[in-house]
Amino acid sequence: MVSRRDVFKFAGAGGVGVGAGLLLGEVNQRPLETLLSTHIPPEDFSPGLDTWYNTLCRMCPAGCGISVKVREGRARKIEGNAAHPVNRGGTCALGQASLNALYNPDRLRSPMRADGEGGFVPAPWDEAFEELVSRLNALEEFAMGRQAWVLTGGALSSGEEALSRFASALNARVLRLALDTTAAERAAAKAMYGFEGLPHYDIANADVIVSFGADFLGSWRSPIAYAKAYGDFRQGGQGGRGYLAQVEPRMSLTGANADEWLAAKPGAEGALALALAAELLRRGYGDAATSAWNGLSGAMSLEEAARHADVPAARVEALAGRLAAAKAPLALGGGAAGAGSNGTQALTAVAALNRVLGAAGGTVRPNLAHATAYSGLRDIEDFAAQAASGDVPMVILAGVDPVHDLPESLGIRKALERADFVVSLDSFLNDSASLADWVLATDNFLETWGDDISSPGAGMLTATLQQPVQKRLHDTLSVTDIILKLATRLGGAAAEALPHEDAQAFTRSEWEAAWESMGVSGDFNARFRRAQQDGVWAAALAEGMADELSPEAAAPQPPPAAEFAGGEAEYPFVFHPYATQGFREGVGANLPWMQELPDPLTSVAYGSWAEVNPATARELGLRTGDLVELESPAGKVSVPVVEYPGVRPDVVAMPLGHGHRANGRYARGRGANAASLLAAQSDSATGTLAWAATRVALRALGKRGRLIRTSGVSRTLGRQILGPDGEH
Amino acid sequence: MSSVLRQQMFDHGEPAYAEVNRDVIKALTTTTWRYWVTLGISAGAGLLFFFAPWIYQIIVGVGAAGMNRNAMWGTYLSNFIFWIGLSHSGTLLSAVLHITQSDWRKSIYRSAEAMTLFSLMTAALFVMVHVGRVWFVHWTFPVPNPMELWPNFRSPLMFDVMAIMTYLTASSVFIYMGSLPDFAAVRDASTGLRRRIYAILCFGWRGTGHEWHTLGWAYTFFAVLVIPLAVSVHSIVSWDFALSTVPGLHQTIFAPYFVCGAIYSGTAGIVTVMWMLRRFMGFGRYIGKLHIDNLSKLLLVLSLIWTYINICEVFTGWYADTSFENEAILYRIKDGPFAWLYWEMIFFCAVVPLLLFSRRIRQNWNVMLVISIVINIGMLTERFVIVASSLPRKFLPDVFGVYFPSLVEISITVGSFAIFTTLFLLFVKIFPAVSIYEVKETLNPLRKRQAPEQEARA
Amino acid sequence: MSKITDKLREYRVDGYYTEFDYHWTMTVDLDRCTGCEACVVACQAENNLPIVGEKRMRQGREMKWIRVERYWDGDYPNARLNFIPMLCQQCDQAPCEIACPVFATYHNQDGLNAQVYNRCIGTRTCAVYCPYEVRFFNWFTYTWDEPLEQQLNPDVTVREKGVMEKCTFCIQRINRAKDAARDEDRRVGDGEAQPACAQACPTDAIVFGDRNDPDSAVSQKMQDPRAYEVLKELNTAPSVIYLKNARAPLHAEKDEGHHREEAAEAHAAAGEPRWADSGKAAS
Repeated sequence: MVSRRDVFKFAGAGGVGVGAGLLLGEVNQRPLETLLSTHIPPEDFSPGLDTWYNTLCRMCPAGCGISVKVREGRARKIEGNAAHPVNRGGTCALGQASLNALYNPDRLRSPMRADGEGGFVPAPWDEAFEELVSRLNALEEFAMGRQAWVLTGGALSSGEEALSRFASALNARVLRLALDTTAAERAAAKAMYGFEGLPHYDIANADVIVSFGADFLGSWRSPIAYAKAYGDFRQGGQGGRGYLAQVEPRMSLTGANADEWLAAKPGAEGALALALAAELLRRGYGDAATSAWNGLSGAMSLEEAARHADVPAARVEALAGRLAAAKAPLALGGGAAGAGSNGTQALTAVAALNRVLGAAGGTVRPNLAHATAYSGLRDIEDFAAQAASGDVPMVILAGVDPVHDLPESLGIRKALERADFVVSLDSFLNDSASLADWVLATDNFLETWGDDISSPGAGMLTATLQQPVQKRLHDTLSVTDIILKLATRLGGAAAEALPHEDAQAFTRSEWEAAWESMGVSGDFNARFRRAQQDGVWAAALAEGMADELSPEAAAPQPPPAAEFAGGEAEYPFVFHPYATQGFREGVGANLPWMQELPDPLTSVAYGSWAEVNPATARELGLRTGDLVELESPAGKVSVPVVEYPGVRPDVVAMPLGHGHRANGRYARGRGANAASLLAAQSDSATGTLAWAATRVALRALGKRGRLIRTSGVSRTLGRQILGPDGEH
Repeated sequence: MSSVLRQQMFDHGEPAYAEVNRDVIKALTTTTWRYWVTLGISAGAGLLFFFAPWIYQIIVGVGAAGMNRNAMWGTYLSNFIFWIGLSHSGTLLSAVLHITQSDWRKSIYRSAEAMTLFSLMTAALFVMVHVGRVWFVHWTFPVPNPMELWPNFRSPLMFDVMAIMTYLTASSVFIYMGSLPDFAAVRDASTGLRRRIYAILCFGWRGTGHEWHTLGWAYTFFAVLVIPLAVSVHSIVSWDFALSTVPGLHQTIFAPYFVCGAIYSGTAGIVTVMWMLRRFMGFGRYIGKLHIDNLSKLLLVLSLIWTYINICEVFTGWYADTSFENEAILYRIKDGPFAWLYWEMIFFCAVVPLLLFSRRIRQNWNVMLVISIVINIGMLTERFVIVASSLPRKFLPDVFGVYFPSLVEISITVGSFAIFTTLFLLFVKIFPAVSIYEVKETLNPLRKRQAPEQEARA
Repeated sequence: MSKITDKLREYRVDGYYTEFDYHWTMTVDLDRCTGCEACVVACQAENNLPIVGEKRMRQGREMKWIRVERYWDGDYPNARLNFIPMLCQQCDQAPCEIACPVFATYHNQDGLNAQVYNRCIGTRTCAVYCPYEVRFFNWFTYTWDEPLEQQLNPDVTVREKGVMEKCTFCIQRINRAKDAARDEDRRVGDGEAQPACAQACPTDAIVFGDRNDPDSAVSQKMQDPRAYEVLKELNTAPSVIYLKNARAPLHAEKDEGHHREEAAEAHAAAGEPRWADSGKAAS
């Protein structure tokens, strides 16, 4: 049977071989916008016929493979690459909307130079390079020990590799920035499973899942891969219909789909997980490693833990019973549960529960990808301190917007203001770029080369190739192109480390080197062309290649009580920021389709909101739409409230990613930035940012806010819309 | 006709034959500056409040109105129904009273029929204001075309188009035919251009016995034809609503409900117009106590029927005992933003008319003016409440919304009254607003050459 | 005479077709659906849906041919949220089809509820008659901020003001698949035609295919005991079949007055425009 997706693939394969080559020759030219361009069309260009290119989605770190429909030389539609092992043909709303980034009216169309009065003027590339090269040369001569800083994200890609080489050639320090650093989860995996990196969770084949804060259907890790697995977990999987319990203070998208939602107190998830582990040990579960744990004598009893977490003990006991009876149980931990002051201990407790359940090695497997080590708070504070003392001569922002995405309290805004020279490599004049001296307009990911090591599952290595699907719309270059050109112009160590002509050449050389090191033989060109056609190269890992979990694991320590910034008396609510699939930490805000998409849970569009429990709202005399001021020790924002039945009465939740000060017409001034409320708390074990460890006070402002909700009445009123009553 | 009745018909004593001609034709020929000012204001208001916002709406799109995803119909449609309703009494009353040989109709029917015509025209305007692409509105007519595309005859809107066009045609013919002898009378009494125009308008009426006989026959024929039409038109308009599945609209009682409401509001409209004619056109002599008393009695009866149907409607909603019906009724009368309008309508259309049990009130023109206006405000609201409280809340609670009319809609609603007034003002200068020959038929037979009472009735 | 009566009888057959060439049908498995709304954006991208803007959103004029509705069950802490994607149900006995005076909407030979934009005069009766509220009206002629219009799908028209529009089951994709099949003198195979929402769905909750083919995935899904039609009581014979969420009911004991309470709660917000915004709102 030939599916449509297969058809796409074949169609794409035909087009790519020739089409890509043609495009490549032209990537560095100015875009051509004349009527004549279709008069003598490129070979892949047949009016009325689609050409499909397989490439990589760069909207979030998950690294899904996509097939892009190109018609008349323009990308028109994103589909999932059915042959890609991560997303298997699925896409998310954000991925679909990536075309909005490509065609965004506010995308930078050429390099921009700050005019010294807060504005920017277009400037030619040559001027930009000249300025940068002279700055970098000066840095080499007169820096006197002062280092340049490179601020970047954390993809496992050749682009990052080029950046790293460039940074080390310059002797620059690199900050890898993200709000959710995965540090706690990696530390937990190291402690309990004995390997570096993030585990792969086999959701499809689990029959009982208990998830502590991990919103794997929403924004956690690789939501599309997990959603694919979730479909099988629910229906058509091996073990009948799976059972999902979600433990979190605010019902996430995953919580909304769970069979059971336990509104645990923030910071108490770890204790609950450990108590479950201890209870199951008592019932005789466990593997070789856990026999030495002495039954986790330090853990709370189930009842204690339930009381501690403020959830009904009976339900926790029932959950323990379910886990005990499960054939393939799985515990997940993440999100806010791993972002408290005790985040690492909490996730370690969850991992311990997996060990006790026998899930380690079963539904929990190691995998290689996405183990980027993000910078801890110490490094960021170091950066801020050096900037404050005037010791930062140059900052290169490589496609990150830390001023918006990270807490104001980390001082990145001030650091950028104090730095001598800031250059931002970005497609948009975002909150960080607008503080720069130069903004170098970068390509959209659909216009350039790159790759990513995606996380497809255990026992497999997957590299996804990113290739241009159309000519550049504007006078832009990719980050890698810019780095390579700079390196060439700089000469010296940089040119030696990066002798490649452009991103395409660099990507090819990286792939060649990688294949060589793995002993993959055969004609490189043919193989690479094949990867271009498929959009992905996947191989089974050789035997023994980090596919084993350590049989040993020390007994986990009971998680300490969670600490929050701000006293309970002054700040009575725990602040629960969360990432949504559409906005994540801010990437979706300038996409009109995302702004216009009602939030899956609250149906709010265009703007942000704060979720309060209806009982709390009643107590404070608030109604949905009333404007409130949220104040934390780190800052305050005003935002309309939404009465949300899925949040604890002592918690106020707020989505991340809104409230940009710049970043184009769709993002600017819409909603409030939840990150600006976060105090610089750290995870006690890893020293990374604990973004769920701040308390807030809530004050009604006595007026109505701007809140658009598409849902009228979110109750069925006894109407049998969700199916006839009484049949299951 | 008994002399007592005749006395009640003419407030200031019975006029002479010649006086009738003189009075009515004077209204056509003598025009005071007040008339021109009124006409100017009303035409100006029509342009400013109706056509200007409409043109704006055509340029930007129907989004200029307050309708939204839930409430795809709004005031335009409710006003359309209101104006159709207002049209109902004129022709219907005239025809019914003609057939039942009620002589008191004779001095009022011409204006009443004019009201029918003009409110139908206003209603038709609202259809055009309502649709999204008014430039294609002719597609609703079965115009032969090479694509063999026909209108959808299953559509209640198609029924509507047919019914309204038929009604408009029949009403126009009816009023025109009845006016023929009067046009001739105007022709005879005037000179110059006016004489030539009315000579054409009256089709060369000479007043022979044969002509009178044919007119009488044809007039009765049309009267019989118009009555079922009038009933059918508003039934069909009600099917626009009743054939939908929308809770609150999908009701079997809607056809009689709408017909009753239409006649009710139309009768109230006639009272208002009569008052105006008496006050401003000097027809006090021809429109008297008998008319107002009879019209008021009719109003009272209609109000009681209307009240009964309203109770039925609420009862049905409650008795259905489904979430859909219950919520629709509750939203309309209790929980919705327009619940106060519902009770306003009940007060105006069901409670206030109870005053009409008193003869003193019935025969007081000024009080009746107020009551008639109040009733029509109530009826205007009724149509609005039906639309605005049902459509935003249909079946799926997730898409429940609300609807508030926008400024453009309110302006166009106000403007429609100006349009109607303008048309009516033009009418009183073209048509003899009171039927000359038929009023004469009711005069004291002793003043005639040879006319026993039986013949006057015939 | 008999010819005329025959003709009339033919005319009276619902939707005029007694049998459809293909009977395109969609099943939506609510147990798989997570409410992520990937389908909503996929549809927007495929079908050139306008970006209506914040102001129009506030006025309640969003354009989403497919939307995810949300319904809460219970209250904190035993609250639960249910999702149901709602799109044109392509009813075989469609209330909208009788409504249109100019035949802008009609039933086609594939069992689809087709909308002819060119013919539409914008009476909006179809939308009023539609119990699922999945018809969307172009209140304005929407434009795209340059160069966003370069994304527009050339296979789908852009609609002007005054025209009603709705989900077409991605008829452009169906037609493409039918053309390809016709060239090869065969029927469209299962899975060859996929609407954008089904293709994007990351949990494979949406399955699309031909009901006339008993072996198609959609025919199989329809056999599921969980299958039901939304608002079945209206007898619209929808072509979108939902599979009920198999979660255990939240409340074993559902008290009598429960619905009334819900309704009262729902009405409490009734006087309020759903866009809770007043003119003097702080930004």
